[in-house]
Amino acid sequence: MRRRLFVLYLAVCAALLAIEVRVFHLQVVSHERWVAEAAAYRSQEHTVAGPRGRIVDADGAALAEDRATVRLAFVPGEWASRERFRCGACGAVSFRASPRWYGGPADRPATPPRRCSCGASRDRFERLPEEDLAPLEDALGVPSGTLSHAADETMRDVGDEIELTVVSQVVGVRMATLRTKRRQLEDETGRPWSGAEVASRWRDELEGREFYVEDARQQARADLYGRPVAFERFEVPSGGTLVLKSIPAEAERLLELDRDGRYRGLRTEAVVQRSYPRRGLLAHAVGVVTPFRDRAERDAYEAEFGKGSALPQTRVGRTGLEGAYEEALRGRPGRLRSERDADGLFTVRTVVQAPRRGADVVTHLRADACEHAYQALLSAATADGYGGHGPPSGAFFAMDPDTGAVLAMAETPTFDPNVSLSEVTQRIDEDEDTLAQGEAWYEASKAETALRPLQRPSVALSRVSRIAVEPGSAMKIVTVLALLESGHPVPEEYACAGESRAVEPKYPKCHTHGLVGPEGVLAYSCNRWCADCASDRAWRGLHTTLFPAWAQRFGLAARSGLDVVGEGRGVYPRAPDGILLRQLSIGQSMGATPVQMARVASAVQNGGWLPVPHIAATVGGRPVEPERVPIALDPGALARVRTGMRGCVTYGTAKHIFERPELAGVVVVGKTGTATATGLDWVEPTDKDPSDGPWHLWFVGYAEKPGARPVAFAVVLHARTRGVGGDEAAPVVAAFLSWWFAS
Amino acid sequence: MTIADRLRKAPWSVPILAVALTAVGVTTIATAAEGHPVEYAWMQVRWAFVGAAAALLVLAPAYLRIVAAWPVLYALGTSLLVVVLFKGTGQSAGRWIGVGGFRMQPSEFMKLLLVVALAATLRYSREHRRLRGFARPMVLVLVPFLLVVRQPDLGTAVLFVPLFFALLYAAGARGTHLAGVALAGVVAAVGLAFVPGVLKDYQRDRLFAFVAEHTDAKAASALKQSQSHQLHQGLTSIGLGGWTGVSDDDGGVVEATRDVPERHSDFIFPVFAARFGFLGVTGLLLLYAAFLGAVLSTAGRVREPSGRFLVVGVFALFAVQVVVNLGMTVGLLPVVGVPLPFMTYGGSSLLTSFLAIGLVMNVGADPPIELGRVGIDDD
Repeated sequence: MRRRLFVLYLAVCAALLAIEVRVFHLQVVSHERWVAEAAAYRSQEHTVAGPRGRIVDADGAALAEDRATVRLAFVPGEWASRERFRCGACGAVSFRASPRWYGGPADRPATPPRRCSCGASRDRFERLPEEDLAPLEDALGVPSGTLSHAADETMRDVGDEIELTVVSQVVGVRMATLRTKRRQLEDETGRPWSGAEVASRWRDELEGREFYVEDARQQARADLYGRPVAFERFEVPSGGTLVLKSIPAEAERLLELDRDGRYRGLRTEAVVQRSYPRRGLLAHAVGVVTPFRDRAERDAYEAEFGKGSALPQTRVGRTGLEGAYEEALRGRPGRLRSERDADGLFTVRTVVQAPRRGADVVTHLRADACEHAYQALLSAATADGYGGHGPPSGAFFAMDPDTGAVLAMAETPTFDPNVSLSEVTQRIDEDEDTLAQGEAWYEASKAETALRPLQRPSVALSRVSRIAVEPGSAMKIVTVLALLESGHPVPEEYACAGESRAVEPKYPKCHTHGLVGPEGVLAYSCNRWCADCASDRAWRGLHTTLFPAWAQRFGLAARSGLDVVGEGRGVYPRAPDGILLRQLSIGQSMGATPVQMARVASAVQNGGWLPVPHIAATVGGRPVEPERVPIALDPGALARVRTGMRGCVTYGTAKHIFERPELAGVVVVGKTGTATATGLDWVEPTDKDPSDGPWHLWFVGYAEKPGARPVAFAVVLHARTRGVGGDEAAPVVAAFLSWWFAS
Repeated sequence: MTIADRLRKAPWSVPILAVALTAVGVTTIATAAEGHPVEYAWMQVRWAFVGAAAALLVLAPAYLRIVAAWPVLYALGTSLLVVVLFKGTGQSAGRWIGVGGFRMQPSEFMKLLLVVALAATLRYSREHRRLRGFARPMVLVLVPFLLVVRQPDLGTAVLFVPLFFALLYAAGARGTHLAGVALAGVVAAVGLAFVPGVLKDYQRDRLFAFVAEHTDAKAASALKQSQSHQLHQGLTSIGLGGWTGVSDDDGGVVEATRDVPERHSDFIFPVFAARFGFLGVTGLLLLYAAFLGAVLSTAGRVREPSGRFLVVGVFALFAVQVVVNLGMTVGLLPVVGVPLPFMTYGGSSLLTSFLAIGLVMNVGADPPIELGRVGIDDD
């Protein structure tokens, strides 16, 4: 027996020795590891978003910037302890917690403080009536009772979160599992389940662990009650929802001066948001930012800045300059360390790595010039006379023909990126898909006749750089140059049949004008000269390769290199036959953007190269060097084209338009265009002759003035039911040039 | 023999060491519950006095009379366990029943009553030298075991099992028989763990999580995030102790142990280890070893079998609780709700411990001489 007792004792001692060895390992051998683990638990590092760089115009005015706005924030802990007592001795106001938010009965009021700091006892305190939130609600512009209602709803949500956190901590069930369980219960029973009700499903496991449960509840309450939450969306007591993203100045003033704690629980909070001060002006050019679109994008971001650097508020440049200069504009995230204070709250903060603002992008654009162009465009692109879908549509683009610096651009319709971002970006994605499908179809079908890619345009896509439409007679600049440079004989005194359909081939019709040569063709915009020359039986075979080659030479059906994300390529058939050649010669059955047409005009002006347009002048202080694509042009042919385009303004299809005193000394050289809008979905299909409209109205050219910077431009008014390019589009340019050269 | 005689003859080393452990426990509880609205340390002191008084009550009658009353005591204990199933505190069946203004945990007292019952059953028997002789003591253990598992209180229930083996071993049961029964028990337990309704989900998760931590790195990571939060925080606090404990420069022991769940209760050891470090832990383990040695030496001095078995049972009760509690807090055993004797906060646990001390003192003070009965072999 004694031996057995000894064995038992030895066994216990052996077990204790094993525990001692284990403790030695924990406390001595791996002590440093546990110190590190404890430190990691007590302090957390957070990523702080790095502000994006600004996009500014040539005068330094902001086009896009990260801006702090003031919004309403709600602090549950303050709301839970807003019952007020005034000390009768010193008049000090004290706040006490309402028991109902701490697990007590709903109707039990808070008790006064035991003693005032002035020494007065509890019975000297007087309960103050509940504060009146009406002045704040008036200043916020929300119906009476909204704030209390929303605050109580939020408190209930926070209470639910606390109960679920307790279950998660004590029982070890993941929060995601609890939320799923809650949804299942709600689906099964058809009624909402509170967090406490869901938590009660684990009551067996919680039973007998009161100390731990209370610890977890206190911790969860401390964490959740101390954290301000955005107060943006309110369920109005009478029904409906209100959204309040930023608060009026009067409400801000009330909250900031709230020394008596009348609006305790509600406070102002500054948040940084991407702001576009010019709103719809230049919205397409400047572009928009969005959250990460997919996991791959997020992973790429984290690969650059480290794991965990991607935040919900991180934004990525999606279109326009925001997308093109994303790398430069993108700020470097910083790291902030939060440590627990004596109450276990993460309130002690240290900056580990300061966030760094992204580089600024300074543009050649002048916002005031763009504003004038926009106003001129709006005056022409009116609803009256618009025959397409949606709002009236048009675009204006102006650039330096020498360097490619983009001087002004405007388009309508546009959108306000400050308020409709998600909708716009969604539309961009959808429309990009549609356009891409159309372009793919066009490429695959070799584009025999139709112009399929021109789908119904949406507000999200840029009319300046993305949506390409038929340039119509503006294309004759390229046609005449190509024919003159080819060396093929062209008629110098061509008798045009005008509108007569008796002359074969019947299409296209033309204006009534006298005998014309190449210059007259550009001045009077003769369709038949171009069409007949293009499809001349003697040279038709050569022209099937010559015309696409010249289109390519002038940068058509290819992206110009404009520094925006989402530029379109336009379309031009690769192997046109005879009939198609006739159409292409007058700018039908193809598509070009105003950017592409302004490049054509630039090449005519500078005589030797296609400038690559660029909006940015400097990026992060470094200048953007101009790029030029050389295209050798015969000086003789070029001179004749310039003469013809000048004739268009002086005596041709755009005569009198530029006869303005503000344009004295300004030489305007241009070409009008009135293109049949055949792109699918621009207009409802009808049985009438397509040539009866609607039409896209163009004016393309350049303007020079001694001592001033030359300007190449292109303007288009989409789907007009009346008028021609000279009457409708050219005045937009005239209005802009008048202001430009005067300023 | 009067109570004064018993007090004079009692082995005082046992209560002295128990009081020393209680004092260590109270100071550690004070640290663990610092900032908590309930004065746990003060309540533990009060329970210690109540326990000391209860020990004196146990000391009053001759222990043989207590042993003789085992059927009544056993029936009372199991009845209380049944009552708990229907009248337990909480929204479902709990572990406590209300007595006046207090709550008591019958399963704690049942541990001691089971020791009495087994001692009484084994004292004059040789049946347990054969395998079939295991049946009676096994039934005695299984009834409260199943009732306590049903509460649910797996931690207390598993303590009954080593009690059974320790007493049978001390009573001379064959090692091969004990090993065979143990193996069969393990197989049956594993099988039952998969039977729906036998274990609660969280009990099953804890057991599986413990196994997974030692076999699978991925599982260990998941474990850290969920079920082993308690264990991980406990290990962290122990590890922080170093050689001599957490210094105030490092934030102090309260800071180091603030995130350990149940730190005043089953996880009191991490608080002690953080406060006193490895040297303190060594001292504590030596104290427990000395205490258990003192208890067992009392058994060695007693020749009357029921007295011996009583003391061996008490020894086993304390030893198993110490080893299981320390083993789970240092990560060697799965986390179950087993208190650390004299240190864990809890009235029922402390009262039972002092009752057990009273029983040991009783046996040690009054070893009757047996005549004409078959004693146990002194092999």
